Amino acid sequence: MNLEVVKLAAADNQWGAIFPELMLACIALALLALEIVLPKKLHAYIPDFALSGLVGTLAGLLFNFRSAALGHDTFNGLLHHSEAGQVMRAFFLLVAILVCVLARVSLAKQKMPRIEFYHLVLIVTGAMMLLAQSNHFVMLFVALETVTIGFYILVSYFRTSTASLEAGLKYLVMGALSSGLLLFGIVLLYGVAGNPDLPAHTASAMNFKALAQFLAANPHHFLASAGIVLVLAGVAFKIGAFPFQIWVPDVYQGAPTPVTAFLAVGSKAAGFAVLLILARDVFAAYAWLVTPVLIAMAAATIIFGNLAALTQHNVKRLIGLSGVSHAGFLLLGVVAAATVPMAQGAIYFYLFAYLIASFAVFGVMTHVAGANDSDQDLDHYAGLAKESPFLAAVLAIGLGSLAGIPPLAGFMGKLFIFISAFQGGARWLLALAAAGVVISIYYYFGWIKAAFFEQWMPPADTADPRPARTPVSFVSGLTLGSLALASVLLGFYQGPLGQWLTMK
Amino acid sequence: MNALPLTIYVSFAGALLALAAGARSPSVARWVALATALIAWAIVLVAAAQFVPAPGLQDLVDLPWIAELGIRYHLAVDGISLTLLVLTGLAATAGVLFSWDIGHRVGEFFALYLALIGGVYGVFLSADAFTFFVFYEIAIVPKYFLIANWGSPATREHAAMKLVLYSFAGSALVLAGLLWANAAAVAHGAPSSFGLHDLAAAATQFSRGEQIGLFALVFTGFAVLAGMFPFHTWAPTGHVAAPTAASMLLAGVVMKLGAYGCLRVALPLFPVGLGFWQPTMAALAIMGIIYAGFIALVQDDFKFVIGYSSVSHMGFVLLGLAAANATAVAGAVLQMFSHGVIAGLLFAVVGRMVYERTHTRKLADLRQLPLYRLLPFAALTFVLAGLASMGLPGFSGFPAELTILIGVWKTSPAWAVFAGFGLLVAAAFTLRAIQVSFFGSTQPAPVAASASEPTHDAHAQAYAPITIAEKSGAALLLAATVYIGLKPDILLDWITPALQSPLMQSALKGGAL
Repeated sequence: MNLEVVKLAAADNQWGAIFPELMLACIALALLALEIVLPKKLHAYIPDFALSGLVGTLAGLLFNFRSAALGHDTFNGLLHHSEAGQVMRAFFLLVAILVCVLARVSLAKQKMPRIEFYHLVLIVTGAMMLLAQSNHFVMLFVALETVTIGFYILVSYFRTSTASLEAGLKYLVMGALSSGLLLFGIVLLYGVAGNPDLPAHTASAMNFKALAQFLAANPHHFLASAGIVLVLAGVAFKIGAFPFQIWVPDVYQGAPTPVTAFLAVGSKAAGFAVLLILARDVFAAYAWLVTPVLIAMAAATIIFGNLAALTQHNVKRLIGLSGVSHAGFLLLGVVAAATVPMAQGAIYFYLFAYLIASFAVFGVMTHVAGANDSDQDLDHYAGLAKESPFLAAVLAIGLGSLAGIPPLAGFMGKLFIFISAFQGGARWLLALAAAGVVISIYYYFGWIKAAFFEQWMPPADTADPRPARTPVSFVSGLTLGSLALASVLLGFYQGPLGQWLTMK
Repeated sequence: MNALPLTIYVSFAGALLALAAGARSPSVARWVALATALIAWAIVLVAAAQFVPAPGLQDLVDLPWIAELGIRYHLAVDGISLTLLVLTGLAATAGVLFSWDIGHRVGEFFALYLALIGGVYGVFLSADAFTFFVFYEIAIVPKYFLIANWGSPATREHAAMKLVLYSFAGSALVLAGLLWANAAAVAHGAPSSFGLHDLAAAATQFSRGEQIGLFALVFTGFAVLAGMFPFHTWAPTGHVAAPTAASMLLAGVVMKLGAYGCLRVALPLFPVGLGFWQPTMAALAIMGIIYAGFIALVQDDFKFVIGYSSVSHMGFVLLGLAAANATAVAGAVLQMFSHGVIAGLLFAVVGRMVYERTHTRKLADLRQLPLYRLLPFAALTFVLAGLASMGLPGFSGFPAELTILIGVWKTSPAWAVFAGFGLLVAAAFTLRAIQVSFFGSTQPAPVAASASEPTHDAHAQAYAPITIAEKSGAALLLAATVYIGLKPDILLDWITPALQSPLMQSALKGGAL
């Protein structure tokens, strides 16, 4: 490879196009540098620096939403910049901001180094943003592994807690398995697409466009089918879809609450961004295979998530399993997205509604939880409405939105998904989803009831076993309040988010 | 007229006010609730006075909501909805009066209560299926909390969860049906819309199979809330566990939401489906009338008697809808009003006037007490309400059930005969309840078997007198049932023109066997 080829390859390295990701990386490194440079008493301000960096990046991204790179490939076809990619970038930045807000509450209860946590959150966020724009399997795999390795550390961040360490190990083992499956699938596809005996074979089979062309020319190749199924399985791990949801309850329970939120919303959304690109564009020619696989997965995920959540008493497990069922609803949207243009917008709306509602709930959880982060029972919520009406109200709105009670945002999200699924013709799946929604009412209402209507009787002979609630600070109060308000307002008025429904 | 949408907003605003006031002073919350209910009712009555009956819905508000899907915030009124709006105002006001001495978390109680009322007003005013659905759901959620928190302790959690799961299952069916109808309309080339008129116009293009499937989904979904056999089992348990005001609203108004949904959405949109399912609907309605009546006949719990009687009386409404001719449907709407008033009255007597004083609902215990002496006002009210419930002339039950039976006879005399038998059963269980509960004891009060029943006797001396609030609530409801019993024309003059609207006509045509 001589210099000219390298120059040519580097010609479309538009670094400006990934400016937000670069910003995050620089801030992340600066955090570590600041920790060394600054005197100890100023360390408390480093998280603020991370937070303001994220807010600034988000503002910059929104300001430059219609960037010049839209619709183009950059970095020699590694990345493809699209409107959907911009939406997901904003999504991940928002997630990171909220994770940092929660982390300030949660980390304050632990004797842990703080700065590395924010560093990792920033790195993982940057990787997720790249993942949502990837146009090449190498890019996809590298970004996905960056996300996953970051999460290995984040999940077991509370290193003195055995539950957190156990969760980290489980996530590591399961994550390694899923990466293995994904990689195996990629290799199979690469090998098949490079076979010179087949029509439309290509030397750059990792590139999504070239691969899609190859698949369109060979619509029923066995090895390609096997590769596709393996790739889907690898992604299914990330979104926690059945039968790859097995890690969800334990990892969600053991991980620090902000990380649980990050996993539940960020990691899941990243998985769906990838899945949408793959199912809609790359594997379009294999819809005969992808659609039934996704339908079966969606059905099983909705059933499993809702039934398993029914019996949970630990709220972290409960929200984890309810998150599994939300993945099922989103899969329903992915199924519809193959034929209905509106479905993509519906998925984004659902993700945003899910983000807003979930972080409201997780925010309340961080305030209710004590030093032992994995021990959060429904009992701890009894009487919450009396002690802290604000937290209880936020919780009720968040859970109501997750349950899909109109006119909250979560209901609109479900409605849009259901409408697109109907237009896509997945009627029996829809019946199942409706049944799932009804079942989910049981556990969501149980939680709300605990917060509002149950009295807490402390045992007479011992001290109160429940952790003390954290008082709500100004920043977290403002954040939680706006999340609750957004859940209500988005139900009545969708504004620009509603316009995505007509986005092509 | 144009002030009618205010009923919704006033109720929700009142809910917030009551919540805020309740934190400081329970009595302020009570007065806020009463004022809210009265203001909303007054708005309805003023509108009713100005109302000019006309075929078709008269638009009140029509704004785009989710433009991309053609969803509109569309409120309108016709004679049918006006009848039920009047009922809602009446039941809401009486309900506040009967919950006057709720002592526990008063602000929250009335906030949920008024939110429920706001949702009910919204449903009765909606002319867009989506708006309808959203208000319908808003009305369901507070019921859960009203029962789960203020209900009778033994069964409330179970009953509340059962009620809410049944309701949500029903609304899931409705939502599935509406989305299917919307998708089918789009598939037939119509623009995406949930407006009742648009959907009805598009539905004329649907295949017979689609119409049949859609009708089954939407009708069943709504009929769950109307207490249709065999999906009625939430109703008695829910009514029994609920606090009195919630029982009154549940039986008086919320069950009407289901029937109203059937009438407003299922019938006009899918007339072909109606034609197909008509015999099944009638069979289920008659089963409900007679089966629930027989169960009411053998209940030992006073409130269960009333709970099952509600299912039985709602069977008449469903039968009227199944017969689907102008007379029967007008009768069904009249019966919705009449039953709303009478059920409210019965629950008020049983749950508030009697139970709050005797602390037992067991008929076996009540028959030991000379209740007619101890609580003469309650006895009088219950006898009058019972007579109204049996459908005696002079009370609203009479014109309502008579109109239904005449209408049903036109469609099928056999159905009318079975339903007529149901009337006998209703008379039997009502008379039994009156006899056993209030006039069971033949002994005079002071001597009342003090050896065998000392506890009850001790209570018997100490029964608090019926309060002014209770008396005025009962008087309000009694006046309504007598007034409509004597002059049903007032409501029929609103209802009959409404049935001439194109939407209703298509339903009635579809139902002509």
